[in-house]
Amino acid sequence: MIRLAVTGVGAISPAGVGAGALAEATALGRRVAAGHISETGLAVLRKLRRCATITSYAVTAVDEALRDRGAGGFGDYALIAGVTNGALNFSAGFHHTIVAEAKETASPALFSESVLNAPAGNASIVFNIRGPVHSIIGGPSVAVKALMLAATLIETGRARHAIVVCAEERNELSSFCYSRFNPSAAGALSEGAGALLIEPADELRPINPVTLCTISGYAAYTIPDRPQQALQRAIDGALSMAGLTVGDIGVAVSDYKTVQIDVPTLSFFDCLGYAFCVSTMWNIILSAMACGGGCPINPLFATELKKYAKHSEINHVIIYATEEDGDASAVILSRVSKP
Amino acid sequence: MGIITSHGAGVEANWEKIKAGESSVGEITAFDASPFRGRLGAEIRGDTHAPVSRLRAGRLDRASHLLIYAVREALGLAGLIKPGIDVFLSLGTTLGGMLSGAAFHREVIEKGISRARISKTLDYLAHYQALNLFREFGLTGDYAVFSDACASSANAIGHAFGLVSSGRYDVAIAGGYDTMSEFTFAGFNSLMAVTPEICRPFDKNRTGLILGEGAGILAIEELGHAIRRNARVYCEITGYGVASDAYHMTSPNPGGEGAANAMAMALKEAGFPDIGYINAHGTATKYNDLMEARAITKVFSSGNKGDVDIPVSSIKPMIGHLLGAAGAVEAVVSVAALIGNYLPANINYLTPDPDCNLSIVTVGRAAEIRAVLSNSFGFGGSNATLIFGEYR
Repeated sequence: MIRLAVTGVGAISPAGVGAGALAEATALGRRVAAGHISETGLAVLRKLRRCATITSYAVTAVDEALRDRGAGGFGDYALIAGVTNGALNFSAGFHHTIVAEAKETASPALFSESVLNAPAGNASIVFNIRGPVHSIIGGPSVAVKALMLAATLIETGRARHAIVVCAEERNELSSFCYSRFNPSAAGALSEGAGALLIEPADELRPINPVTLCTISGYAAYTIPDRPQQALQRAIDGALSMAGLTVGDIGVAVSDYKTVQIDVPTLSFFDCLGYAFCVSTMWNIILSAMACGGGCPINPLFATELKKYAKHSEINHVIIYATEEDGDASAVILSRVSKP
Repeated sequence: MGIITSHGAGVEANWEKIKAGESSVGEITAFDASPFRGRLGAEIRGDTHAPVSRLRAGRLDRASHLLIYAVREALGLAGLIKPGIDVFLSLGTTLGGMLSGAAFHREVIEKGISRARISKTLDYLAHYQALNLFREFGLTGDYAVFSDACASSANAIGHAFGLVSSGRYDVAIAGGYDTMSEFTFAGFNSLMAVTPEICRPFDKNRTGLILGEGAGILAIEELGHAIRRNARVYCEITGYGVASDAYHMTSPNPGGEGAANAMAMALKEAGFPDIGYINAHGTATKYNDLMEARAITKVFSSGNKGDVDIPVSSIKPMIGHLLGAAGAVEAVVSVAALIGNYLPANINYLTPDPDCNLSIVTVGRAAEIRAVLSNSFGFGGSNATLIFGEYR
């Protein structure tokens, strides 16, 4: 296994534009309003005037994650997008034309920007990424699966670096369905994007490399309708790959309501709301930033960790995700000793 | 292998019709296509409800039914109906359960959101069909659902190939599926990509594509694992290439650099085999075919005009463009061509296009084939190439 490092992060969320805004909101335990993000502030989006909201979020997050690498030169990068619902507003708008208006007048732009790979396709165009560009679909576990796919592409030599992004946009239909399937969480639906830049830890180029953490282990597992069993397999797989035991893990981060392992477990659900696969990506980004802080007690987690006694040394963080359908994944991030 | 298309269900049924050069394109019946420029499609006729034992058939999207058909055939032929080990399921689709989503949205429009039946969304999202396969076939392991437009299932197969060849899994089930939907039909019509007449890839007078539907599945197994359990080995997957255009959401890069990069990567991985047949993406749109011809020429030409003599054909005039399923269905046909030593015809081809200077197979014929290259390209600049080699 090639040792991989997280060297860039990017986010857009109801807390604002930037991973910093995400971290600030969660560190303060501030509940940010779940809602539409009206302004990304990204100049490059002028090129994408007709793109869907989800695409603008994805491009904004990717831009931030790539910024430390300098402009251009992304030809040998892979880009993996994790998506749950996709551009639902454009899809619904296009379908509304077909059903309620004249079919033959449906807008080609609405159609082409509604496809599930529109965020990844547009991001590849904006940043001139010519390596493998994939969109994979799933629930909250797909953020880790996207990271795993990126890792495979690097390990098999199909890409040298990879940007992993998850994006979602709020929509009337998804909000309605989510509230019907999850009545207790009604009103908590969120939106935005999160991106990670990952590359081989041993090949970092001397262009301001900011190694936030290494990726020690990951696994995904599916046992239909048995989420806890599937999650246990995923966690065990990630620990095994990392060569760690549960006792090595300082903190777990997950929005899954059932605590799966005996370590302090945090959730930012109450702060950021639920944005499907993006929530898991935000959890990964926040954990990477916490690891990258390089201090025993990172302010990012300090507020929540006050209630735990064992928080003075966090070297490894596990982030896990699952849903009732039994589709689970887990990833372990490890702190890097700074010279 | 497993397959269901407008030609019917099953590898044999499909291969016989493809060898015969039959087309199953006809008037669209799933919805009223009369307002559109193009009104033809390659639909699967008759009852498409797959027999299910663990799922409630009435709650499944048509996509799940097609997929279950193809997976059951593939696992049956492979002797893996009960794999008994963890498998990796790698699927490609552009639509997932779009028919269910569209039905729900239609009720929202017509009755209001509070009266729309939310049960219609139970098989809508594109990863639900994968989970249905886990349930129906009692699978355990992991899965990925690729949505890379029309390169989706080629990438799904390529990724599965990578996981098996690197030793992470002994068995992967890989392929793709998509259904005929008014949504995409209207979409491709709005882009003026659907032909009002017949589909004729690489022909000078080509006017666009015909949409189809179906599913294709390959059971991919580590060779030693397959031999140990005395499985029939159809062929070896020897190469996979993937590259992006970074050019435009709907138009391919006219120079074909991304497609050429994908082919070159696959050929390198396969050890530059003697390609006996190229199963082209060949949609019959003006820009795709021109780009693909340039890319093939770039990769295989020694520099002299017209010197690429590898037989090339597209099967899309027979069964339509299956979008996310195209790469998988064409992979099944590529493997059938390889083991049957037969070149499928590029039917409807009449007038050579000097800008697409390829050796088009106008009439199906027997040929000695050692390796087949299959291309798939899609929206967003996705390019994927698979290479299948004979098993000796």
